[in-house]
Amino acid sequence: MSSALRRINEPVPARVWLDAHDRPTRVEWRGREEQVECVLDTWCVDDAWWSDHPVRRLYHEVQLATGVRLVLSWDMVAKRWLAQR
Amino acid sequence: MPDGSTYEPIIACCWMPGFPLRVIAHGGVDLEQPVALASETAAHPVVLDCSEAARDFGVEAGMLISRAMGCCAQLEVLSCDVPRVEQAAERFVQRLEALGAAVQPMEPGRAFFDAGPLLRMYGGLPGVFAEVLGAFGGDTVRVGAGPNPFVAWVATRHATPRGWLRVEEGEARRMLERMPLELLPAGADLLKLLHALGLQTLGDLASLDVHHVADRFGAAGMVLHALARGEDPSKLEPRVPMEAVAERLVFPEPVANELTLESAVQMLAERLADNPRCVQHAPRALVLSCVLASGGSWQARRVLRVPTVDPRKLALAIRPALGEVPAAVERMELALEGFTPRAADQRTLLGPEGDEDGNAERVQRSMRHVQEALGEDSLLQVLEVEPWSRVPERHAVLVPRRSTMADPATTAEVGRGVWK
Repeated sequence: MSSALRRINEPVPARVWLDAHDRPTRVEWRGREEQVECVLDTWCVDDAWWSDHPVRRLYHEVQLATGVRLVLSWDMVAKRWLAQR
Repeated sequence: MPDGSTYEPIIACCWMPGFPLRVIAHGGVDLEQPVALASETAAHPVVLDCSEAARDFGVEAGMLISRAMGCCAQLEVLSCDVPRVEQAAERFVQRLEALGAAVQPMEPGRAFFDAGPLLRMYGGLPGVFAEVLGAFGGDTVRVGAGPNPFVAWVATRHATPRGWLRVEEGEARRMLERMPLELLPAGADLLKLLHALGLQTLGDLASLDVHHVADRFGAAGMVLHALARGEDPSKLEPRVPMEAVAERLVFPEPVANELTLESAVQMLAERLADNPRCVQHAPRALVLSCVLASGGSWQARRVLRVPTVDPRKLALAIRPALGEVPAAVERMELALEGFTPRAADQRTLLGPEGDEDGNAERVQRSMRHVQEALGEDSLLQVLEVEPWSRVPERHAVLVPRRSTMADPATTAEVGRGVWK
């Protein structure tokens, strides 16, 4: 990627609490703990497996109790939760 | 006070002949000797003004200095210090304003004012003019008055030094009849043409039929014809007197170091920002004046894009000018000008709804200002790259917004090529 380009909406580490069915129920994001109201969508990405930076994530698009929509993802390579808008 | 509907102004003119030459020569040069004031143009300086003694040798304004020296070997040439002349001109106007006059400054050393409102204050016109002449002490000031600015100016030219002359409205035409055409505010070519047509005096021009003058010289000719008849439709436009907002600093010894000068400017800007005038008003321009160790003075004026009282921005605006200071500085003064209410700062970026073209232009202009101030890469725009991707961070990237950037739809195609 050219140095003139800047990434936007990069995922940041987050803490996520799951229910018995491994669905997010709470998330700590930007220093605040928020309740997940509902999970809108779930999908899995396994991309760039041929490169040094493979992307293997399980995504959940959720709506928080405050009305904010977030995309939470379990990074299967780094073994951590990430969050982004 | 006179009734507004019947009030006839008494236009007065105050004039100090050879003002710049007197200011520069003040105290050090004998103006009874041949002396000339040279323009600041380094390549081919010309004579701006000269003493009577120099005129006797054939030296005249506009002549190259080299040629003037040829006319008069003992000619003393003084370099024109423009900031010094401007400061003196300001003091000239302020002296008139101190008498209560609403003054319209002309070139340095000449100003108009309406003497009518001062009549009761000083007990009539002689009293007013006595105060004016007294305000300038021993200087050779002349004062003239008339029903309009042109007649007042001609009267002033014919007043004796430290004297005054008033021309009544009914006498104006008769007084102007024998006056030379050179009194008219006309270019050399037009004057030459008038002379070529056999006209020598204002009376000659005034006696012509106005329609013939209009046919031959157009609107400019009609104005000159009216002036020659003693009719000047122009009105005075006095300035609004303002107390100068300025801060000064005297260095213990001359300073040439740019960093020290920058610190001094910063300090003066901070002092100025504390001025009571800056509470509700912000300046549009700032003027930096320096008295140089070499004897002259130097001045720079910078107009702010947006009026501000932020000392950091004020210092930043004038700082580039410090690189142009020609010599070590003994004294420094920073002044603020053109105050405007600070409420004017509270503008909105977007105008009323429905003004899409105007809004777009304002946004474009604001973006250009940001790039001008912070660099081309300071302004970024979102460029969609893979909006269909299931990896959210691949949807879009930020790219520098070039002023020549093409339509975003086109650049998105380009963007897809460089992603990854």
